[in-house]
Amino acid sequence: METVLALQHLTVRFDTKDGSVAAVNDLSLSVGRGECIGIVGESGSGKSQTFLASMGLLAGNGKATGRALFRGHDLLKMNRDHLDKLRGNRVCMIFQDSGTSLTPHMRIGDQLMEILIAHKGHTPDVARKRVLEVMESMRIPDIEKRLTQYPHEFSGGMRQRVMIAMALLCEPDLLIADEPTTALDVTVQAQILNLFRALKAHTKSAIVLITHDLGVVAGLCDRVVVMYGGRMVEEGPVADIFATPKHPYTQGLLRCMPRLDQLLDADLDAIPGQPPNLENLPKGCAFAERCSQANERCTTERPVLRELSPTRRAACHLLEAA
Amino acid sequence: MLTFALKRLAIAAPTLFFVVSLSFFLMHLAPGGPFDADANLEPQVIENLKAAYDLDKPLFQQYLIYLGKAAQGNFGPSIIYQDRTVSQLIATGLPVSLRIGLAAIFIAGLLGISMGIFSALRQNQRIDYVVMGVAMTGIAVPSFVLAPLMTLLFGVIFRLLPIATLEPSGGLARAVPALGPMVPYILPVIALAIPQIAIIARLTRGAMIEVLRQNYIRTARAKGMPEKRVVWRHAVQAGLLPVVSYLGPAIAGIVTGAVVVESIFQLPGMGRFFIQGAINRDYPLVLGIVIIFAAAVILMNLIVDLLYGVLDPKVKVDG
Repeated sequence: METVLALQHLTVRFDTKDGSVAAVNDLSLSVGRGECIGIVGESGSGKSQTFLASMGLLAGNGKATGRALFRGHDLLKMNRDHLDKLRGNRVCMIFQDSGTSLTPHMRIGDQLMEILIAHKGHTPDVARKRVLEVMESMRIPDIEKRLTQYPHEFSGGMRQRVMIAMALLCEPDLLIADEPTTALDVTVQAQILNLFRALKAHTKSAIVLITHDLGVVAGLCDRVVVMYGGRMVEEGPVADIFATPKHPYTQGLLRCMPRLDQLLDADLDAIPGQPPNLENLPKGCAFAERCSQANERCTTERPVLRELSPTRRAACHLLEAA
Repeated sequence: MLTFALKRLAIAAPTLFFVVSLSFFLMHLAPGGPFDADANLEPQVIENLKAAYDLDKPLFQQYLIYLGKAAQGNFGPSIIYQDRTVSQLIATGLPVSLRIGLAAIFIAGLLGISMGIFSALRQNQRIDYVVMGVAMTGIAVPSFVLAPLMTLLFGVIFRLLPIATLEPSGGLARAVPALGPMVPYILPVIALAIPQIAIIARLTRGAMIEVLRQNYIRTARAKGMPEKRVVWRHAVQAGLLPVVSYLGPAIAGIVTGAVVVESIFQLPGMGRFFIQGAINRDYPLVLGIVIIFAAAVILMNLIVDLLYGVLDPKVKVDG
């Protein structure tokens, strides 16, 4: 399988008043053509910052080191002109919270068409045709009129469809979706996930799905990466992760999911404690203080990511002992 | 949009009424009267003069008489400028004041917005601090300090620009005759514009920095839009909203500034008539000018609301 994106020892740091904070630490992973990987973790686990860094979209005080190779070219070292040729064209990102992610004073049609005009050199008329085509596949009714409207005239679900349409206009090699269903209500979530399913079936794009919702991952992804405290703690094929989670954090996440075969009044499990404070990460395993199986070694020595099988990796001392 | 404008103009009438009433009583509350300086006149002459201007009647009756005439557009005769009505004085002063006021607003908007965007795009770099430092000085130095200093520098020392005359003279007028009649307005316009440039620059900078942090700017960059397009198409329109709302207060600032600046540069505009009128208790003249000033501020605020509807599609300007 051809590798589309390869992150090598990616580290993202932010300069703050209280010093430098590492949001992502030494992360390496790759996504192949036609593959869909899920990046799972709580808020602050670094899952979004990993890919914002790859897109060159970090906030002004952020700095990424390591390498983010897109088809062999390091995105982190590219100048703005080169990056602008890839972004929105070969590498596209779908953001959560479509309510704030579309320019409020531009018509939806203009926001879509400018992508094709910039990347494909289309005339407005040609761009318009392609926009209509993609919008139609997004099942947006009354498209012609919709294109002349502003974002505030769209519902959340419709805006999210526009965000997805934006990313699909140029048929990218890599599609990064950052919590594409988080801000939506459940029925709309289901519709959007169906769109992703259809998309996955029809495209050769590599897809990265960033989410905190394991349910989304189960239905869509081939492979799962679990992140905690800015590091990868576990990686593997989706079926294996769900069947035999190795890392206690992954196990905890899976126990948190409501199940249909559970009694209605049964308590939902929760992982005790809070996500770690990135400004002050413990010396040992970042998850140790919330881990029911932690021992002394967990608090003093950070576990490294180890290969458990050709397709699986995890970072936990407990796995060594076993 | 038309109904909105008409409605707003209808609301302007009570506002004007309130402004006129307040000014009327405040003027009469101030000690002294228009003929106090003419001490060598016979008491009978003064009585006759007062009667001629209705000043012998009870205050409230004067007020009603004034309102009645003003409502018909008759602002009465001026007291100090004899043989001339207030309307005539306004007709001579207004063009001068409009010229420098509009020029000042235009220059303030152009320079202030440019400086603000320039600084916002270089946030916290040295050049940003320099520009904002200059702007802060512009806010801190009042025009009654600035205007005499500029007169001294460009009028007296360098002899570039004319002082206290509307005749084009000085070095610049000789060097560039094409500027002709604009030359005498240069110093007053700059003196009026500088504080506004400074305020608008700071406003624009703050708003642009805020806008450039928005998610939709990140989206525009993620779409591969070059930074020029990100700034000018996706950011500026939203960044200008606070500047547009400031235009209302700005026109008020220009009006008050004009009173000072016109007196310093001896320009025959509304501001100078206003000062002369106030000092000499020329009640009709002051009230007439107050009405014009208030109308200007009200009109500007209407324009602001209409502009808002253009800049922000979420604002519906109708009904």
